[in-house]
Amino acid sequence: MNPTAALTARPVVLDRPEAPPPGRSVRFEGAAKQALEIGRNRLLVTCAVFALAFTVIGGRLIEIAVSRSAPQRLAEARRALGFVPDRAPIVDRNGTLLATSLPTASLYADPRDVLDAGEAAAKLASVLPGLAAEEIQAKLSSEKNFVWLKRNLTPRQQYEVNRLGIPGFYFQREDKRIYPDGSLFAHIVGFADVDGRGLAGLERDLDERLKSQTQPLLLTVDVRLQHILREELQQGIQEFSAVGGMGIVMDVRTGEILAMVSLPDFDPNRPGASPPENRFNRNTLGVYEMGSTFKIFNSAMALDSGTASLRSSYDARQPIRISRYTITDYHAERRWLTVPEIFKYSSNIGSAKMALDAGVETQRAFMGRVGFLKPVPIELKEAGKPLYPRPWRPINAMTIAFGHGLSVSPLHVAMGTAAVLNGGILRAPTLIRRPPEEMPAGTRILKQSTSEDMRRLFRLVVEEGTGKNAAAPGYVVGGKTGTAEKVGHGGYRHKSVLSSFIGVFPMHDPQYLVMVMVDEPKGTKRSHGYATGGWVAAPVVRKVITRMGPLYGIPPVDETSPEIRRALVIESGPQEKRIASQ
Amino acid sequence: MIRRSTLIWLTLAALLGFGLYQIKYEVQSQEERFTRINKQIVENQEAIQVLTAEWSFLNRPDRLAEMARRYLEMSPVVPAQFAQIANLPDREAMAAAAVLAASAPAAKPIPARAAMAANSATVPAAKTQLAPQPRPLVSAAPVSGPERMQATQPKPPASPPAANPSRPIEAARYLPPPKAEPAHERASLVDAPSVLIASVLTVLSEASSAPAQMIQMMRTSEVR
Repeated sequence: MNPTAALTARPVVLDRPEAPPPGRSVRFEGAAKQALEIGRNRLLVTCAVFALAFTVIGGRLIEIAVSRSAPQRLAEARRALGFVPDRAPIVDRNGTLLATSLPTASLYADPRDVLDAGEAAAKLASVLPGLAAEEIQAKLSSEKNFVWLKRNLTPRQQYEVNRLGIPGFYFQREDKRIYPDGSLFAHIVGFADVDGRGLAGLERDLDERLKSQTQPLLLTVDVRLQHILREELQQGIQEFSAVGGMGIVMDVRTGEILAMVSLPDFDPNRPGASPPENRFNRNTLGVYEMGSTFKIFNSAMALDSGTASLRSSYDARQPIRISRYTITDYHAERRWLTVPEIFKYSSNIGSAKMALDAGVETQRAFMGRVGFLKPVPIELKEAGKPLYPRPWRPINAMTIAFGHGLSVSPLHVAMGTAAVLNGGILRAPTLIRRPPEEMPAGTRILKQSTSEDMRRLFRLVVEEGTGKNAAAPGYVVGGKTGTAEKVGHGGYRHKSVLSSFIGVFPMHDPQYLVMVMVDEPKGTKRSHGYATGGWVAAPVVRKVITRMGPLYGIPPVDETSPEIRRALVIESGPQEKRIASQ
Repeated sequence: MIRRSTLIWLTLAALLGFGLYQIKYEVQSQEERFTRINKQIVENQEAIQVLTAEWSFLNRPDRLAEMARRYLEMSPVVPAQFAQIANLPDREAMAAAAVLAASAPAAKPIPARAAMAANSATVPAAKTQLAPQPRPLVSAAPVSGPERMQATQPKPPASPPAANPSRPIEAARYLPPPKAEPAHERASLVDAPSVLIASVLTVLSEASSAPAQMIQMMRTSEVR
């Protein structure tokens, strides 16, 4: 028996004063040993758990201390988000602000917390004069637990309200949309309501984009050019006592809209302050019978389909009588006219015959190709549906040849004219600036040679024809006039017209298109009583081009230089008489 | 008696405790600073937002045009003010011609540049006929002195251009014209701060449109 065996008989007393001397192990047997084992095991498990925990903490500490990215991650997790407006700002092509959101405070109340509705209402009305005390009192007496009292307070108003110290009044931070340029971009940018929902223009169409991204939305428009266009158009409208007008400046090579004005307009900061009809975007939503400017497309169609060339001529001696209509010429020449002459003198008779010669189906297909049979593809929901005849009969073809019977928006015409002159490529007009590589390719609708012929015709109109008033010296302007009689009760009203001019410059290498339309102008002494496109709209186009050229650093050129002459000359040769088959 | 190791551990624990306390307070104050700076950043960002709106409001083209009309003796560039470098008279050739004509008796042509350098030092008294000579810079008539050469040197304008905004100033014929019309030269207004401030105040006080009021209110509250 070893000495330990002797101990087993005795009860275990751990706190005995005479403990076994250190170094000598004590062994237990039986129940006591088991209890000790359990205790020791538990201790070991606890120790292991703690050791593990401390190892993890230590490891993490070392990781944070040693690794470089960990503190950054920590800091990033705590970084403040900064000021994030609820809608992204909108800027023009040079970065000038057109729309932005400013932080403001909005006042609301919890009526259950308001002690004395009458007193609170009276006090509030005294600092916010726009509010009526009775209305506030009615709101504060309601059973709801949330009522708006006033949205978008200025900081000063907020301070005043705070000073009243009325219990139950609270502020909510809200953004207010501001349009610093006022009405200048009313129809393009549009406006958003007090809850930050886009209601019109790009604010409406790109609502999601503006809400989801904070990057400014870059537009193609130029605030300087927009101002010039609006100012000149306004003057034109005033001079001829017109009811309204529209203007578009477009880059014919890319379809970018540089300026687009529809008058009368409104202040998007207070859209309710103007009559609702002012919100109507005449450029995109309005569809009109365009009148003679449609001869652009009639001539392009005839030249491109090969039924006519610049040497073809048509009999314009007699007005055309077809069923109950009579087609006459405004600037009647009463002789055989060549295609350039038909364009120059804007002959309705000649145009109608050109259209018949080309054929009804050809015309219809061409109008479809130019995009005149569906709404204009622009980033605005305000795009009007064209009105076209169904069925498309010969009489319709004849009137459409000179711009009656097919109603399209002014932007349609600008888009089509750009395609006719830029070499024959149709590009959708756009308001959103894109890098050049993201530009849509466009579709070819005309032969390059047709486009070159059309440039010659355009130049002819300004040099010798109805558009002489648009000649801006040095800029080789070409264009086409248009005077459309507006449809009234029971037929066309001769006295109320839509006068337009489409100018493009420089004609030997078309870059910019300036289109102006004036609604219901009245002739003045200076225009010798005329209210036609050549007298009303052409001078506006000239003024815009004259101011725009220096702004864009386009140097004027010698219009009589041989290179330009050669590019735009119409070669004379034997005429080829054509008789339109009716 | 306290054993040595116990003492060491106690001291260590005390030191650690103190260190922890220090770090905790340091972290707390840094957190406060962090929050404070973040708040300032947000405030500044908001202020920038307001100020860009104000800047753009004050730079409305119609307002700038009005300001330019009122305070600047300039008018928008017109196409006639453009000139091609190729159309400029060749000054050196004309100068050389003048020198040749002047120094004909010497029977030895002097290179134009050399003559210029020599003459500017040696001419005793420049004739006053230089100043009133307008363009063309070098008159075709042969002049007797080599001092005629001075006309080819860059010469300050004899008199400031007449303050007639409708007439393009003379220099514009020879200098490249400004890119934009004055109405849009946004920087040019900054040169006259007092004018700017005064006009800003008048515009703001006159303007009744919503953004004007809003922006003005915000500015004053921020200043306060």
